[in-house]
Amino acid sequence: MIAMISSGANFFIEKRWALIAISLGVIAGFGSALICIAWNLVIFGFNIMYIVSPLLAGFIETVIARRKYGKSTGAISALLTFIIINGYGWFAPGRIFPKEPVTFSLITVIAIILTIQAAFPIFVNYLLFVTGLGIVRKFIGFLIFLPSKILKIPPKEEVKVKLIKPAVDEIFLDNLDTPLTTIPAVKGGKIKKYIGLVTGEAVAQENESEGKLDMLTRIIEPTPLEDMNLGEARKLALSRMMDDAKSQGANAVIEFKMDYVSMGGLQGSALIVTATGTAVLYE
Amino acid sequence: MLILTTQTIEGKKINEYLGLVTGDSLLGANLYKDMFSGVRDVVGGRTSKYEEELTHAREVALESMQEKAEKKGANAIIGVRVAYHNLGGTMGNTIMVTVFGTAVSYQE
Repeated sequence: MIAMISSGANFFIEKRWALIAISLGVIAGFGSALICIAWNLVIFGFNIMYIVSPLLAGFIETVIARRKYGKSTGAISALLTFIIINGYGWFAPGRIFPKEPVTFSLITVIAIILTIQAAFPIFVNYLLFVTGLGIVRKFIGFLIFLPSKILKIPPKEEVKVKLIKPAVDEIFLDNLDTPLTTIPAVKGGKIKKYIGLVTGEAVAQENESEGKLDMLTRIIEPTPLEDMNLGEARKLALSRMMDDAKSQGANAVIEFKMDYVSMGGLQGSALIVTATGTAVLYE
Repeated sequence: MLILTTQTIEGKKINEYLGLVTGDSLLGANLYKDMFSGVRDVVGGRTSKYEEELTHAREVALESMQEKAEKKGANAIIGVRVAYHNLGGTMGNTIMVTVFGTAVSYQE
């Protein structure tokens, strides 16, 4: 029991500056809010306390916490002030001062975003930049393909990759004396010359050009595998590797390996397809 | 310099094994690039930006491995592996390209 009390006391002694910083922040925020109400500091029918007070509270708290506590306390007072002021402004106007209730407007929304941003910077930045931009991107993509959807125009063909036709890998695979192998050597054959490492990479992505309506649901649902142009990317990676080998005068690729690495993640799914092998001149 | 994924050089004698050589490079697939590749996506093109960057990153890694091998006096690197890793991140992904192999000197 005594140990518990002393550890509790230790906790408060250790964190005293953090607690002081938070309470001073709340007091400053609250005081500024009172001043704003008393002097009726209203811009565009909106009291500036909703923006100024939480920011002031967070600022004071952070300054004190940095000086005395050594690290940031996460702008808890800004959030507290924000909750108290908004609780008062939205649900209980006129209890202390006769005032009009807050209405939902652009300025209110911006103020709310600013305050939450001050309290949870990483979370809000993630929301704004990753989720927000992702949604905007998807929406723009959807709008661009909407006319073709309505007019029943078949979706535009994917821009063809600049490759000699027919695809290099097809010609090359047919002309190989010894086929592409994943093993070190072919029995009965003799390696005349080693040419060296050859690689090819390609990025497989969601096929966004089809303009499907359920494209919008992709924001929350994972992409099904058949919607990735995986086969195309594999072929492209292989072609690039073969191109590389052929340009160096090889007639076979041994120890061929294929690898897939995920990329993108939050902004959308993408896969890197890589092909690696050793180009040789077989006899 | 000969760079091979094979364990041996057929028909050639390896004089000396000079040890492990590595090379790596990072590719920042950052938010802004993501955005631009997204734009290209929308208009129907390919994200060639990533592929170019990826090729560049691999070349840098291979070059740095080759340099180390040359310093050791090697004339070939055998058993080379190329690995691609995703390092994650909130604002965009970082792709790490690593190459490693054994530096050897062989009778030409």
